[in-house]
Amino acid sequence: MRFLLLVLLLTLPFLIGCQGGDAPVVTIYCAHDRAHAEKILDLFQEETGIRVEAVFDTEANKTVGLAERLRAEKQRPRCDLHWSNEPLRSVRLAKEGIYRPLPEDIASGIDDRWKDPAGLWCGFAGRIRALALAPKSPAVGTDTPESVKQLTDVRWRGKVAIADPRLGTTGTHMAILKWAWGEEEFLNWLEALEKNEVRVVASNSATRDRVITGEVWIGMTDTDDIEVVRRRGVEIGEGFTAGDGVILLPNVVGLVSGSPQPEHGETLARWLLSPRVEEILAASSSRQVPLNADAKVPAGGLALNDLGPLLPLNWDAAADTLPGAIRDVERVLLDRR
Amino acid sequence: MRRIVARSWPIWVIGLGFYLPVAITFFNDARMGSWAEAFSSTWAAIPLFFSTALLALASAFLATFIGAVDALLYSAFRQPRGAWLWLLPCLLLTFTTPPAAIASAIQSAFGSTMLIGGFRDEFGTVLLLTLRWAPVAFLVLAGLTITIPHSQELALRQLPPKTALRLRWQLQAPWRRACFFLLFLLMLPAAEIPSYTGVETISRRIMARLTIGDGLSGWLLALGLALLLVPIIVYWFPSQRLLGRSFQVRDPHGLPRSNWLLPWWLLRLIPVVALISVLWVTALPQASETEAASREFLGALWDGLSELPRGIIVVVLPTLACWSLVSQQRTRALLLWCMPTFLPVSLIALALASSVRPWLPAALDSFPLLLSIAQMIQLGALAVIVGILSLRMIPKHELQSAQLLPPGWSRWKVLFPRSLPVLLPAAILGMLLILGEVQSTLILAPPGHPSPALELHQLLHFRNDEQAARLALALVVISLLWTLLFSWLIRGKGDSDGK
Repeated sequence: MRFLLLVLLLTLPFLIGCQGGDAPVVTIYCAHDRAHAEKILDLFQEETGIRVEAVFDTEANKTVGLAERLRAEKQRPRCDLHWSNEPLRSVRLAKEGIYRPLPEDIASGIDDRWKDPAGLWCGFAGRIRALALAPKSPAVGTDTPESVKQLTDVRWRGKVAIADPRLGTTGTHMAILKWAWGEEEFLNWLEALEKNEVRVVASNSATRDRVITGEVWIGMTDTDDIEVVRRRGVEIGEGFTAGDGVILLPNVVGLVSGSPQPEHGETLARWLLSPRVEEILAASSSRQVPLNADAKVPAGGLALNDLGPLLPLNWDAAADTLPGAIRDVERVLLDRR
Repeated sequence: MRRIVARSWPIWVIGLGFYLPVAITFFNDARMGSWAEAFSSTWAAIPLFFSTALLALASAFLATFIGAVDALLYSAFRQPRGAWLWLLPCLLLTFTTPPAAIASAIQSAFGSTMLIGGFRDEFGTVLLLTLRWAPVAFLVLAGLTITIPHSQELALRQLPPKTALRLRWQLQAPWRRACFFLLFLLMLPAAEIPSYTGVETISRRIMARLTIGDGLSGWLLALGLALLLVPIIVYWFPSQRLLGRSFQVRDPHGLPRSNWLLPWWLLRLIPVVALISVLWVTALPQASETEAASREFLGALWDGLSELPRGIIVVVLPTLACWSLVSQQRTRALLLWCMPTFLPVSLIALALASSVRPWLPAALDSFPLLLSIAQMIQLGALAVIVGILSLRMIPKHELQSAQLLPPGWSRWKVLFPRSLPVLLPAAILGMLLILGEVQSTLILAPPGHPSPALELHQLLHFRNDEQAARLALALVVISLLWTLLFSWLIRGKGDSDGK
């Protein structure tokens, strides 16, 4: 018994750790790439004096991510603001009552199509689902596919890579395709893709790297994954699937319902949704597309108007197809291997 | 009351931190989820159970083989001068370094495509899992050599080296089998390394289910995994008849020397040297970035070191609990500790976050209490093995004398100090495991809690190779420092002077 008490006494201080100071604090769960988001949050801290405690996500397929943490903490949230790097999982969180409405006057420069009709979330700074193209391969030039449906063509057999289609933005892409095409067409496409020996790899960055090495000619990935290596001097092509309608996936900000510091959460949300943050993200190596009409696009950046026809999306309906789409890709692309 | 507390405390953590929250969360998910969908997706995943088991079998076989050869050579020959200082830490490094740091080295050297091992995805997974777990096989098998009876060990040293080596290999056989099954169990729930190599395993499938809020499917898949594990654990669980058999011979007197041993060890350490070299070269900053790079490296080093005190507690509690259970020969309670180690950590973390946290005072939110509990639970199997080994090394007559004392403090006072030579090194290894832990950290760490391993994961994705390498190097440095301490603690008499 004495020993047990001794153990408990010794244990508690270490389990408890140290508390922070008296400065106002806001807690953010951030799924955007840490390298970029950290700079932006540091800037916010400098300018407002509000200390930011950030929890960053890992690449989704190595762990269960922050969205699940938000669900698990629903009864007593400790996060004030959720910065997601794709919209569909946020839409699902909003439907589950995790988010509370954003202030009505927030992000007035951002078009309504990037916002939740009930004001529970707001999109900003998007990236495009793109095809990474191997330089000096037949995929570059006049033969570049303009639709993901063309990836089932026999000339690309074994030469197309896709990230784990259940996770991250690739999972979102699958759900959007299922919503846009309907179940039958989507399943047929998956079957054809499987027959065409598509390579399923760990992540978007792994997809891109396989394109760089020439192991495959085409990789379904995001514009930021391509841009980051381009800025390091790597030669790699890029194509948007204008034939399907270009898919732009915005970052999403949502205020967490019942959070400990709601006011600071709102301050941070306003700051993140300002044109300035979009400009920073557009100029960074993640080359995000600003959605705020007041944000300036830097030289070499991507402007919303220059992308070609966007796929018009019903975010709510697309989010509803997410679990089904994930089961479909699991069954067709993963279980049959 | 006192008796109840004394008897039940070793299972408080596992009961309140695992079985109760898991039961509550499962009940909630079962109420909310669709059973038909969950059953159908679990049924569809049956081939995946087999492919995951095959992957684990192949990796466990290779890792056991490598570890067995290392252990045999390490215990059968007189080692080169100062082997505890350079050989042991290096042999253990691929285990003590977090997988993310190894992935960082491979990625920075060859690009992420090489994470697949350059041949086939499954091949790369087996390679990386083998590299990671072979040191564990080495440790377990080398640790078990201490159970060779004194007289038998002295007799072995009188034989010609080749004959002795053959006999030692034969003596090792039952331990190799046990070690193989232990590694198989530890590799079955592997998720991190397969995620780098893009290979589907049951744990990854469970995570994919959880990311879409389909908890019920996750639980059913975990149940399938448990059904696979339980018979193996029960069958292979070391029983009390193994306790207190013999005493070690740590003195190297009489062990043969060998000319080819040093070249063999040097060859064996090539992967470790390559790992450190790649990290070093990648981490070297441009002249303009030296200051920022040094800051990053030192910051990561400090973050890693500042986690160690908590790591000590996280390791000590389960180790003490399991040691106590072994000393009381409570096999069923030990089995309770074993089970959670073999299930995906994310499930445990989510169960704690959703079912225990709401009951705790809000003031505890800033503290890594639940994270510590989740990590204690993860170390369950290690703690059980350590508990068993630490008592097995006590001479039989001493153990039997101690059993005559009343259970509790008086028996502890005799047995515990005799177990420390095994408990202390094991605690260091456990701390290193905690240092590289990511899955429960992401779910349970309070905002602002330092975790270099988690940060490394985040940097890897965006190919910040230089920054990731600096972080990885900091983790390797911490691992090396603690492994050195480990080697010093377990070095045999005379190892240091190389007599």
